[in-house]
Amino acid sequence: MNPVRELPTRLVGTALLVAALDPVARSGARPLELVLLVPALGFAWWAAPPVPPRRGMEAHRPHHQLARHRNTVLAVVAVALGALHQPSALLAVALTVLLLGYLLMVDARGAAHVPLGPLPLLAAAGASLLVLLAALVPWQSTSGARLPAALGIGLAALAVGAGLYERRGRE
Amino acid sequence: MKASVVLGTAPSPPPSGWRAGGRTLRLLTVAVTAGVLALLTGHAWVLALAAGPAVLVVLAAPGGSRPLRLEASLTVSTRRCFEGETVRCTVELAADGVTGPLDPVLTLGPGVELVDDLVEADRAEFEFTAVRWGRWSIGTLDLDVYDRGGLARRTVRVELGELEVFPVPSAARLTPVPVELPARLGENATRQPGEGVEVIGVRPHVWGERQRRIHWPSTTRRGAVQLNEFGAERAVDTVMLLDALGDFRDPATGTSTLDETLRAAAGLTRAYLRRHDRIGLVSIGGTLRWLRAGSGEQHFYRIVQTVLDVRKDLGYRTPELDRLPPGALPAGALVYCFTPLADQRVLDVLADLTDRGNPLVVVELPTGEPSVDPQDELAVLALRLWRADREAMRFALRNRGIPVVAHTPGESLDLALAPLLRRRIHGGRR
Repeated sequence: MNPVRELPTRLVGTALLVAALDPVARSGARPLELVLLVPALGFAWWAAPPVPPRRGMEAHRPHHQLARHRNTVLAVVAVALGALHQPSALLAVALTVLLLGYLLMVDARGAAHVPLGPLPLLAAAGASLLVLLAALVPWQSTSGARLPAALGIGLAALAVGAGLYERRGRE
Repeated sequence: MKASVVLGTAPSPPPSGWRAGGRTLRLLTVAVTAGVLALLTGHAWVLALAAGPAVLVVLAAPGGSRPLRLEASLTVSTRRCFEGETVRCTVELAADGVTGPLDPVLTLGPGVELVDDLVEADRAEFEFTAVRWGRWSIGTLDLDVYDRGGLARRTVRVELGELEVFPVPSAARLTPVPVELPARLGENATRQPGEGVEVIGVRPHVWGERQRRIHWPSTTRRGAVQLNEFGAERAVDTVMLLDALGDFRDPATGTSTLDETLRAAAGLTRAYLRRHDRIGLVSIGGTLRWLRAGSGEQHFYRIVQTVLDVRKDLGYRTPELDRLPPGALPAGALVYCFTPLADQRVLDVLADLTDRGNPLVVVELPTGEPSVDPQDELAVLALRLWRADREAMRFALRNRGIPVVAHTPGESLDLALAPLLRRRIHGGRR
């Protein structure tokens, strides 16, 4: 595969894992912990490019399966590492955007890529950011929580409606 | 989209019905993992990581447009071709719903190579080149059909069927003939008196004979009418004996002896058929195959088709080396044995033929010498022994009065057969 075409995905995948590891919070960590970051970044660099369709489909050994599903493994590892701590709001936004962007980039090079219209992309990004906003803003225990809750429900209905409209347009 | 090509044996049957595609599994895995971790860790923001993938999956759901019936129809441009020619296979998909992209996976047979492919919305085209002669399975096509959103896929299997690949005959024009020819009209002049066009002598006129053939110089010299005597023109019965006991690959050039065996035999068959001679065929190695001698252009294809199964998908069958059937070998037929002289068992077959009295010519196909390290003394000695063994086989044949000629692949077969034209080929001892 062309290394130049792989470069954007590698960079986004590596940035995703770096964001999940939160190196700023680890700046005061022991040198041994920082050394362990290196193999993690190496793994991200290896696992990030989209797996060519059908590569290794005939192999059933665990390491072959790992190589075949390495894109999924990278995304899941990033989610797991990110979930271990409570990052800053900015880092949480970055992690959310990077994960969504990485998944869309990998989908675009998959075996059965169906070009997405702008509405599904906006709906996915909007849903993620809305949930993030609801999670990060400390409204849950205040009387003003009803407003963002109603806003969230309205936006979710809007997203579903946009999706249905998009589908009807394609039919 | 390009087809994925897999080499090797036919894959196991695909699962029937719709199943999740790779994209769906990836998005759902990430969404479920994020949701579970959010519940376990109590970090609400992690739900944001699940929301995006979940929305993408939901919006890609096809609703009721997913087809229930999928049928693929296959069109193959030809089922018979010569080596190097291309064959085009077209697969068209019919569905009772809306389908998404196609993802074909092609498991190729051993005798063909994929040259080009084109995958469109509801059809896929593949162009193959026939690499080697034989009767080959073209391959198996697993056509993954995705639904409109690319979430689920269903596999439709299409067997591409068999292809008969005929060898490209080697160039050959010379047709050596044996001493004795059967009493059948043909184009080869013989020493026996007959009604041909070649003068074989002069004899006195016998009362009652036509006088149109008077040889005037001897008539005036002897003072009595002398007539030209013409030789009869007969057809040759020729049998091609193919040694398919093994297939040896030349380490230097990569050529296969079995490939060259049939190419050379096909070239010589064409040369004899051009002269309206009768050609038969016996193939030893695997199942014994033989074809009674015949003539005509169609007989060429019959001969080749008889041999194609020798190499059915590179399978192996135990050779039958019993005595050759009498019907396969007409009395006095000239037998050409195409062999790499690599298997001692062929000597027994040739001895049997010599005992029958058939004139016999051995055309040796080179196997190439094993490559050895010149520094390795044992290997060098083994190579000398190998050469001596082959030379002993040639000596054994020549000692029985069987001419052995060597054919070099790529060269005209005439170069190998030219020495046989110096004199006619004698039969063996009866």
